[in-house]
Amino acid sequence: MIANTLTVILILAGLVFFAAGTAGMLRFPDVYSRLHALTKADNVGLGLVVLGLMFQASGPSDILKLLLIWLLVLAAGTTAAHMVAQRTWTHGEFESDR
Amino acid sequence: MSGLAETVVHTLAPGLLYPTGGAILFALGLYGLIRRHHLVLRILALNIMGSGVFMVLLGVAARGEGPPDPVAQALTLTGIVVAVSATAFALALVVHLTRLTGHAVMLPGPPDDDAPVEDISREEHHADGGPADPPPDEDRPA
Amino acid sequence: MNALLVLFDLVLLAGIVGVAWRCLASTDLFRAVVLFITFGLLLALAWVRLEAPDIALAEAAIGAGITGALLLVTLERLRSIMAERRSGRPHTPPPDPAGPHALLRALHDPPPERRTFIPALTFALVVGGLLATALWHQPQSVGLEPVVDAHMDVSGVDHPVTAVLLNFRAYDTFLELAIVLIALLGAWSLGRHDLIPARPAPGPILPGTLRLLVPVAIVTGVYVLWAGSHAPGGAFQAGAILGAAGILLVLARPHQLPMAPGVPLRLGITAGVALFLLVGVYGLAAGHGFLGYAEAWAYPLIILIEVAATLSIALTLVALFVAGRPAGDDA
Repeated sequence: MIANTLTVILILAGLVFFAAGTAGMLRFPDVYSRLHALTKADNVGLGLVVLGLMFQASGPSDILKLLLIWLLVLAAGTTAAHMVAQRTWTHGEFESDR
Repeated sequence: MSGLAETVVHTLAPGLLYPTGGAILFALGLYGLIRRHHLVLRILALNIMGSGVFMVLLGVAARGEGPPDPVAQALTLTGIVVAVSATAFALALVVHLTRLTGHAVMLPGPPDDDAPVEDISREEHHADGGPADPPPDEDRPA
Repeated sequence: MNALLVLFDLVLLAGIVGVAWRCLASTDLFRAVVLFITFGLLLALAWVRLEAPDIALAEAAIGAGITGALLLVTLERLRSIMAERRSGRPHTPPPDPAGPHALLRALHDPPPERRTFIPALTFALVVGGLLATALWHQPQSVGLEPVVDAHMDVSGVDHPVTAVLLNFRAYDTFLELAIVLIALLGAWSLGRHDLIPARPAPGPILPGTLRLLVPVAIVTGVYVLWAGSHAPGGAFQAGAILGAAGILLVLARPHQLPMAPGVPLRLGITAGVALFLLVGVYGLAAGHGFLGYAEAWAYPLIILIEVAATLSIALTLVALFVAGRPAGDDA
């Protein structure tokens, strides 16, 4: 019961961060501020969702898998954001972004 | 009132809802396939049609009480791999066509057709790629 | 609870159809491709909802990931060819931008003409309406699930989808591998591959991440392959994961592709079909019929075929991304 309540609260909090990040991506004017909003908010949001799901895991291996998913998404997301920012820095923004 | 809600929930069971969604995706892809000219968009439209078919298959497989039909799922898995192979080959053909003719557009009819793709077919006549080429349509400045 | 699930289904389907619509209505090809990748990810969510985790894995890895990479590299190739034709001289990637925004001009497709609107709409509505009506009036049936379930103990594996793919309907899978091979042969018949139109990313971030991710991807791929015998997973998903790792490696060093050794590469690419055919003909000779296995041998043979198929699919996906025969390989 407590585990279920914690799951619901943590996932809802995570969704708030996701919503904030998405709003930032849709509303901010250029690539850099969009990346800023997305990377910060979504990493925390995914962390909270993963933490919430850990309370539903059936054993330590599931918890470790969830943790691994979070770490891999962090690594991949960081790299992708870096590459988007770097390409924008050297080449300018896409025509369709403006 | 609760009887009505129950009927609605029953009618909107995944076994009916998702096949309907698949039919909509198929029709949407067909519409895009007819109307868009750029070959990459046409390949996207074909892929969307294929995804509609997969959705019909999996939706029908999920009907009923028991576990879903594994044969339909295996067929869909096969279909996804075939779709990516066909897409890759089609994209290779589009790149080759562009290298040969300078455009990746399916012309809608014979050259005297009164279509607004006139400037693209004109570019074909300068296919030797001299600097006098008129700027193709896809290079409109922002 | 049921009503909430129905709400989820409706929102998800509306999202899928909406993204597909925006994708096909886009005049900017880059935007269309990004929306198509989003479409694939939403589809993966729908497959999970329809209790098809195998398909969801494959859709996320192949439908969204690999197809997305193929589409994006095709757009880059088209842009590079257009720039080359415009300037009238060969264009060497990494391209030197004439201006700060020279290469980021989008590829456009003008909006469709008005006169095709009514016929296309009518045709699509009629076809979609007929399809939906037929599906609504389809008689209820339990499908082939009970039949598969009854024969699981002779299949050699514990996961029904893998049993269907590699035992009950092995013929389909064999032909599918052949189609993958034919697609690659078709792409190779168009000529040698040219340089991939991508600049190597400067800085240590991409190589560092790859050093971290590629081993993880290899472990994951082998795990998914092994898991296929008793849980969602199998050769296609594993091949897609390994292929994605290969594509990442190619992207990290786009201008220094390792000289692909001709014979081993071709052996790897045909391994899946060749081994499948060998096992099939052996089954014919041993009296189990084409592609039939003796019950005791089913598990090892299935694993053997799956390993070969994984290798072939991974290599073929990377080769399709590179497109064209390997350079410096005089076949």
